[in-house]
Amino acid sequence: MTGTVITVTSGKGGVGKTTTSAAFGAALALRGKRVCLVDFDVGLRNLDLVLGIEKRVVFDFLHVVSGKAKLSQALIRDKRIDTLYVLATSQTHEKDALTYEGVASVIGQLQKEFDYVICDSPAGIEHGAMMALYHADHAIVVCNPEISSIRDADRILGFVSSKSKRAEEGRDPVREHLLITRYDDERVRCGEMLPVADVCDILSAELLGIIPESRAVLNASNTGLPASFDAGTDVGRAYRDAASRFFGEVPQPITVPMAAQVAVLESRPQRGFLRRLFRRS
Amino acid sequence: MIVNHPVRSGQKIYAAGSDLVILSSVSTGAEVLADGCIHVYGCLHGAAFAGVDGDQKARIFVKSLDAERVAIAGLYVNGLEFSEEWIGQPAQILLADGYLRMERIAR
Ligand SMILES: Nc1ncnc2c1ncn2[C@@H]1O[C@H](COP(=O)(O)OP(=O)(O)O)[C@@H](O)[C@H]1O
Ligand SMILES: [Mg+2]
Repeated sequence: MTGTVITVTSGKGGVGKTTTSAAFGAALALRGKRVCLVDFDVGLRNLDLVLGIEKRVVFDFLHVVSGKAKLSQALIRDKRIDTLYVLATSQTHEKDALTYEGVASVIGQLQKEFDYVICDSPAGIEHGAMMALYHADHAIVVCNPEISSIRDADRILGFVSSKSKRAEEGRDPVREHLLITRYDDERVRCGEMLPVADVCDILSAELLGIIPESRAVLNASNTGLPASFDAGTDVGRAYRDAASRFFGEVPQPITVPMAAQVAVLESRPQRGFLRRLFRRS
Repeated sequence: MIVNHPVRSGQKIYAAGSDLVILSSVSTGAEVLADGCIHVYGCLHGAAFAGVDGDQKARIFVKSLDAERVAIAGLYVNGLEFSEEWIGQPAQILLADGYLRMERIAR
């Protein structure tokens, strides 16, 4: 058995990749899957912060890639979800330390031990992001319903389909999933954000879920918990829904918050305007 | 040449010496080019250049027009010049009497 590699990517920074990697990975682990989160954002190290394990990091992903530590020394097990592990990244190593051979070897080892290997990609389209998506079987493209974010998501989807190992080897393409995060009713209503239907239409990718903008994300990261841990919060539910949809379990369409549905109708006249803006930008 | 995946922003596809058939959408910031005709069976948001090597009989066919730019045999028009009623409509673009002409096609 080899584990499935899921890369969480976006092109743009600050859209919610790290939050999603932790929350989605935890949601899979809460269903009993063995999950390892790998932080590819060299120099910024924040997956460990979001999960409240920063003090437990002794050896990291880059130590293992460069052969300075064994995988078993660097894997950190979550204290609350016992099938969830993290391979943190370092704040000090050079970005170029992520070599193709080193990363391939670590991912290969992880695939033997875990059901799912989740790669948290850095922003941008440079080396780190390419390394994070190279081994992907699935790509979760995180996108806010804003023009610049959609454009970057589109560009990264292009790299997913052309620059992955699967593409190079001519295998079945990487499965692409779209996750809309930081979705804000209010801002869709006043026309500052695009309705979900338009985002999906522009990106022509399968929608995995809609994560609302919520204080619960900040609360969770302040307490070092993945945002999906508390199923009683709006984001907790939304991330768990995304996980069940990933397994093909939720046949009903994704529920857009009520206010947003109204907004979708009201914002129709805006559509042409936003689209033109999108074209122009 | 047949492409059965979306052509994304930043990507460029050129069908040398033939027609180009795209079974999906072409994103804003993407370019599709062909020496022959171009058919887009999704939405054309990006740029399309047909008859690149000078064929004035080349045409562009789209299921939904929202292009940034279209050109035939080097003669081009910017998408911003399309009037609103054409946006999102199925159309063909051809060269007639030295001008680019847009025509509705069956919907
Ligand atoms: N759904 C959400 N609601 C509110 N804040 C969010 C949400 N998702 C992410 N954030 C916040 O946005 C910021 C960037 O998120 P992060 O996951 O680090 O993005 P990235 O990894 O893409 O740079 C963080 O401060 C995070 O707490
Ligand atoms: Mg991040």
